[in-house]
Amino acid sequence: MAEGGAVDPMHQFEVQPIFGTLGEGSFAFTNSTLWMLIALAALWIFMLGGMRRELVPGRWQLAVEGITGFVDNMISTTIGPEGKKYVPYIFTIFMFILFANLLGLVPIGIVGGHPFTVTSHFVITGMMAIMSFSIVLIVGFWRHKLKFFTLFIPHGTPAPMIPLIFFIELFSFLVRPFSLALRLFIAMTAGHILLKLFGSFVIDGINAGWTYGLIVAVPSFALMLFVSALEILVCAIQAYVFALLSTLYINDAVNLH
Amino acid sequence: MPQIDQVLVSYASQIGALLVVLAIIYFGIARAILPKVQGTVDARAKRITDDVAAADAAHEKADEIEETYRTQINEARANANSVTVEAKSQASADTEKRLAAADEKLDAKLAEAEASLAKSRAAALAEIESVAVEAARDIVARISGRDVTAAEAEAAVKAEMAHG
Repeated sequence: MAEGGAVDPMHQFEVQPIFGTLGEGSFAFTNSTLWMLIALAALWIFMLGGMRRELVPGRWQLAVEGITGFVDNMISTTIGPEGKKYVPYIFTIFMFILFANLLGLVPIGIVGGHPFTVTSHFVITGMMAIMSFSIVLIVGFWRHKLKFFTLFIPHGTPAPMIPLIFFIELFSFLVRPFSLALRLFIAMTAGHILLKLFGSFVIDGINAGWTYGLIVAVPSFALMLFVSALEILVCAIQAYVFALLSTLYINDAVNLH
Repeated sequence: MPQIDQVLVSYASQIGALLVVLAIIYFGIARAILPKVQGTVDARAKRITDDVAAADAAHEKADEIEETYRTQINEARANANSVTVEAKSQASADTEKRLAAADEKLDAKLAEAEASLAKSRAAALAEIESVAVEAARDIVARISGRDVTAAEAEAAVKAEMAHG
């Protein structure tokens, strides 16, 4: 893409080793690892702000309590009181995705840094989708044994339709981890490519003289501002969607219907 | 697309790092810090409901106290009324009794005075009679030179006095 241009919009997604070398089946400390650790550190610092445990909370404590209450509320309204034990898991993936998404947008490019969006790789999103799906399978078969298969037969299905419906429902069930993983991966990738493209338009427009700069660079910059704001929203929404869908799938496993 | 091109060379380091980071978040934050944050929220909610309940109880108690106060005041007022009425009737009865006693005394005194008056009047009359008898005897003796007996004079005076 963007042949001959100074900016390759796909370069930002490249995993680059910092220590060690990349290779099949080998472990290396990469920029992806670094940004995961930054997300972890940021999340830890954020959560420590909620540990003041004051009766009248300050702004920071209120933010932490608000977001934990949000996750807790989402789970208790979907699954019910039994959902309490899934709060730590949903909280973990929600906060990790949220912080990884937002950190990928940090504008440190102007000082020469390169933010890496951990969640723009389907290896990562796929791994988390598999984790959610595994929890659904394990909890479902643990609680309901073979009755878990009745999940694929909706109430009121006419008897002759049962085999057909069963396979359709089973197929839609098996597609869930893929849709879960691809949604987040594509949303992040597309947003970042868009931002990078507009960025390259601005640079190329300015380089091509002030008329092009006026016609191309200024509108591109305005659009980039808008898309950046939109991307911040998408970061939060995708984290919420991933967590909410995981909760809904776990609810299927816990309550069957 | 690096995501696809680099899958084979990077999946191990990405998945390894992801699992480590998620495990740290799960055990270090979601299971350690999160319950404390929620505990703070729950404690605050409990405190608020407790305080509201206490305020409600206090309010109810205040109402109760006011109610008892009101009934007591009403009772006291009714008591005072009855005491006043009783005292009034007692006082009037007393007054009447004393009045009656005083009347009786006065009547007795009056009767006594009347009796003594009648007595002194009778005595005075008797005296007048004896003086009149004496005078009549004197007058008869001077005018006619005849001596009249006391009995005759007395009969004549009595007859004269009876005529008025």
